[in-house]
Amino acid sequence: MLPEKILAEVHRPARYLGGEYNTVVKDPSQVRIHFALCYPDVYEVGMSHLGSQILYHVINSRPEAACERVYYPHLDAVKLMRQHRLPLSGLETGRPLADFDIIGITLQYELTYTTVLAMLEIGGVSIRSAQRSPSEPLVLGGGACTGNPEPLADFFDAFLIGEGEEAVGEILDTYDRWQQDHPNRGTRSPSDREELLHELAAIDGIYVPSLYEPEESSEGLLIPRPAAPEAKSTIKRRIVEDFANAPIPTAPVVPWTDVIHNRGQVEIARGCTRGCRFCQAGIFYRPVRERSVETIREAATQIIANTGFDEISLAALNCPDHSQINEIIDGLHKDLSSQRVSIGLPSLRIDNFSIELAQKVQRVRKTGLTLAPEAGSQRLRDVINKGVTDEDLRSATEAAFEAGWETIKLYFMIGLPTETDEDILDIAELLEQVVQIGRAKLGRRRRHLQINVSLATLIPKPHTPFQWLQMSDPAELSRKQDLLRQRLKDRREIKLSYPNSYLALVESLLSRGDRSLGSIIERVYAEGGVLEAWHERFSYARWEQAFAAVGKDLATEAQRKWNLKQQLPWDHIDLGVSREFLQREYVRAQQELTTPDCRLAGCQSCGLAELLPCPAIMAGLQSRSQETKSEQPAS
Amino acid sequence: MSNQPHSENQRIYARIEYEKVGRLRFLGHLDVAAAFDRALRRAKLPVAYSEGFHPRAKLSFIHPLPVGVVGLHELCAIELKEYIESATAGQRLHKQLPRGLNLLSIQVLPRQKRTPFADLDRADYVIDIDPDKVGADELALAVRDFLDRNSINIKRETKRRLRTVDIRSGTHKLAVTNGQKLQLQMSLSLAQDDLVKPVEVLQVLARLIGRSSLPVKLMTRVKLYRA
Repeated sequence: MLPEKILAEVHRPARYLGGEYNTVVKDPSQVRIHFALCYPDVYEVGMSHLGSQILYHVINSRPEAACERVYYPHLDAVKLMRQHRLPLSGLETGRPLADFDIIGITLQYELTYTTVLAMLEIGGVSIRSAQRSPSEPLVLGGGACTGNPEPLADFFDAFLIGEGEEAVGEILDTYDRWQQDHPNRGTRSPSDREELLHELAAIDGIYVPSLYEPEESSEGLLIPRPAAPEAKSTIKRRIVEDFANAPIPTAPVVPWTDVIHNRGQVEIARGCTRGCRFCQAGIFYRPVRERSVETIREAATQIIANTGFDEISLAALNCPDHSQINEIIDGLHKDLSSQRVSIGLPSLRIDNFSIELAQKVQRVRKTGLTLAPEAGSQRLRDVINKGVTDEDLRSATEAAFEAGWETIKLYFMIGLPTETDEDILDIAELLEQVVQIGRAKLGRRRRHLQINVSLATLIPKPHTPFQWLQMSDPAELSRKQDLLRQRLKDRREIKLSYPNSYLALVESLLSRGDRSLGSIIERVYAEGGVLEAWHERFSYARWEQAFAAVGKDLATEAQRKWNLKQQLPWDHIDLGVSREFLQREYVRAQQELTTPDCRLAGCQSCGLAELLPCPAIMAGLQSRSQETKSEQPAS
Repeated sequence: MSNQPHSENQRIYARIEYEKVGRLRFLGHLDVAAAFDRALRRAKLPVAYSEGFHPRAKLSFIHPLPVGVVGLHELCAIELKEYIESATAGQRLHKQLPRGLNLLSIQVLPRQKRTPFADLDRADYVIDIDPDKVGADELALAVRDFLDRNSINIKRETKRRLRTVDIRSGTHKLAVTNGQKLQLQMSLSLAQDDLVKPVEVLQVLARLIGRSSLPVKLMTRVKLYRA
């Protein structure tokens, strides 16, 4: 929340106004814990994040706590804030970041790491946890990137590994108890702060990096070792077992200005067991858990009544996999279409069933259609365990064009293991077929045909079967991008886009990095690196120089070879999926063998069933046997 | 349009008068429109929607207010698909509008042939000037100079085109008051062929004083009306 003198000077001041509809503003004298929920990117991105909406709701439903949102301001605003010596502050009451009790920062994307440091600094909080005084706020991290928290270990007092709905309450309870023993912020001693960290470390899923000492492995990586009695040997990911009844934010804050996802969102399911070998979310959010049709309809109705959004989007890693997806869409349509509320679906799997769903949801407002074949050849799709066939894509696109779509978006990935130029050219071949189908089906409207192709780069992520892969060489990636671009250049229906290969290289380094990256991230920030998730703000040279400054070569580090037996900087983070399963999957990938979805073909022993009664196995098989979906297991 | 519940020249409109004040003056015009759209849905008013693939609520704002400008009597027309009592509509909408976009009045007008305020041609503004940065006397001199001229030509950018326009004839009133605050009062034409924007008047005054711009503290549009 910025003062008016700044609002009058900045571009699009609505982002800094605060006071949005459904904002929760509590009387500061009536709460004991002030929690700053930070998203290390701009308002437009942060306001779109469903996980933050959930935590905002959960924290604010506790009477002793007040949660405020904090986003990184655009650069014009940061400049003015520095000029006027105004610190970064919460949108609800304008409380400066340094005056909060707890700062919780969402980590969703590695290229936001420099922005994390920027937020702390312009918020007046010491960047390194070791230098933070006992009167400063506790800095907590959470989100999907905590699968490997090591690159940020120097900056955070603690991380929460896994799902936050339940754990955040335990954190607040622990903090509240500790705070009652040490009520005066100004007189807290270093040992008081240590006491808090020890108590937090006792909470399941909490990792306090300062309780671990890094030890260099034979491969030259820093592996954290417990260095205090309070340090657990492994930190187990938090999983909300009763997801079906977990809190849903039914009165989310309505943004003042257009944001990326400017709509209501209902999470219909969490987790995905399709088992794509590159996918970190597929591991991080296991097992699959669903909400009932009634819960979802009720939540959606409330969200619309409470916000007035004209769209409700279903959120899940793969919406069509919900065992009652038809009932959900029909029900929502019945409840909401008279209010001209449309239903949105995120990217879909490639099958006719998904196209039917997509067709159904666009009865109120026409939406885009996105499909993700990921690879051009069957062989390579088997390697990554993407259980779709060329035929699936052909018939799905046929159905899509028949249903009236003229533009479709297709996601592919390059830099996949065992990939050859032939696989790249197969993407062109597949696209060629899609164009032919489109022309035939669209007839007179064929000139409207457009295929938007997004060519992502595989980034081997921790805790996936591909975590041991060598990252592709950026020059080689660029060559492959060019190869495809050349092949498609005469196809005016196809629009090809791909990211900067060097950005992908830095992302891969950050995602599999160890603690030594902390000082490098700090240096990149010091040299002006911030908001690097925005590609125009990214500078490869800055990262190269930061590596060079500590005597390392970025390219060499990035091209490091990994082996199945080596110790990994994230070995102490236990997501519940066993290393044996990941190794088995790694080997099966090299052998081009697929592994079926456990909901369709029974337990594949990923390790999770040893931890909790795996709902996918119990509920999934039951409902699938009653379904008449055409889909076959991938094997 | 064949499935409209009423014929082309028999539309129902809600004529809404509202204020845009406080921090919400920093909302952009599209943000205000979105805030109304959402408030109307929350209020469950029978709003008419456009046809086609992307149905939109039929809302019209005349002469959008620039970001940062306070509006004390702004107007908006909403087409309704069925009649509702003005008082009922007002109660429901009042509760749903965010504080700062405050409902002043609502009139549901059945059997309308066109948008209710299509004939507005004038707007009054009050502009607070920082008295520490510019003197009341030099401002008064500039105003007198402005009013003494028969024509004042300025350049205005419209749709990739730079046009020269005369803003003197559309400036119906221009005065300085220096009571508790140093303020400029102006009545400016909204008519298409005679339009004058307050920033244009301010620019001319600044030039007459020999400055690049005037130190504006706050700009307020007091009302829109038919002269």
